[in-house]
Amino acid sequence: MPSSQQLLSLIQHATRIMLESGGETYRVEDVANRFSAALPGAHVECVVMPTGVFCTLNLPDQPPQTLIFRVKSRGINLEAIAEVNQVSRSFVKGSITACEALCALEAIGAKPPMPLWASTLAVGLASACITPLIGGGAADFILCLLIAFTMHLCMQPIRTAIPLGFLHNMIGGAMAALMTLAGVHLLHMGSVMTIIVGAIMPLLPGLASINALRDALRGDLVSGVARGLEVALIASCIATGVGSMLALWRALGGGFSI
Amino acid sequence: MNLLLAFFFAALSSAAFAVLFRAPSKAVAPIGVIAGVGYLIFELLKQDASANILAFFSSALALACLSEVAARIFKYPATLFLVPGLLPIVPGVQLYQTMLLFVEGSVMEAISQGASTLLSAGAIAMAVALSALVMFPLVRIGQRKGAKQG
Repeated sequence: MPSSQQLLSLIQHATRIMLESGGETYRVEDVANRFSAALPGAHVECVVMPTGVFCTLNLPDQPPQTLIFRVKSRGINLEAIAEVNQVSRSFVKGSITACEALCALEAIGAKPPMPLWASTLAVGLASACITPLIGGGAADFILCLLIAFTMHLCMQPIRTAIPLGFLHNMIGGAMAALMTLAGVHLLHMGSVMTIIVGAIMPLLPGLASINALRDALRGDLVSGVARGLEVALIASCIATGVGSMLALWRALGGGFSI
Repeated sequence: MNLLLAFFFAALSSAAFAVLFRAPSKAVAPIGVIAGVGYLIFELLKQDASANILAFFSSALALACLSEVAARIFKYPATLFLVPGLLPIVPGVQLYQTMLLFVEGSVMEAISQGASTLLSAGAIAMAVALSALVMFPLVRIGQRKGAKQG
């Protein structure tokens, strides 16, 4: 049987990984509650927000123990969410011990990020394949592929070097617009709209917007509002980045066809 | 546009997003297929311009339901299939046009375009939320049948 210390540290690891990987609030709270089922008589009260976790473990004839921690990074890692879910299930079923579960969670948390070449390739393909869907031709596809590659390769060092939060999306949008305008102007092929829409696709807050609505509808109002704000901020940052470059291009006398 | 090509590009784009979002490699191909089917529904419905919101809503609902089914087959959370799958139907063009109209200074048209963009995004979001409502009774019936047979 795990000690209460072990249980709290399990909950901390699991909820941190899930929140940082973009898990829904209810799923994170579920995982915390599931872990507590391993100790008979234990009762966990857990409040999860996108920016942190408050969790109290109540045990019979013991003072309650509380865990509070802050979560700063919010990315997307679907595999980590699925794996933590799996670990918590097998721990409750009793097929792994607390120590093994902790080791498994630490292994999930310590997985290296995707190699740069793989993420660059994925971003390029994901962006470029959007262009035929919105009416682009072969020129749009190739230009968008190249622009997405360049954008991703440039954004990665900027992201790690300067902690700007949401403003990265503005830089990304501006880069996408500038490269597209220059490319279309110089090569006389492709459509500005199609390529920009494709190139900013990886920046759009898809997961955050789905989570925002799901959280709000389930009654996790704080998370819902917080994630809604995140979506609005990211979207306006991208629009500002792209819009400023289009306006600048126009002011400098460069025309472009929509 | 050729429907076969539409299926192919939507599937490829979603599969690439799935890799980017670090979905388990076993789930990448199913994500592509789900996204392709969802996009075909969107493409077929949006031919009629007045049914645009309906196209967003029905394709997102179909995607969400397919994701729930896939979640039960592959034993992964449904969100894992849904998030990459939804990306090809995100109203990116409308978003861009809204911004362009603002840049050009035609504020009234920008607001009207923005409202239509918000409605499209809202239709997708509502469909995703409603999928739980559609799937929940089905899952319960399935479980009961399974329990009886088992």
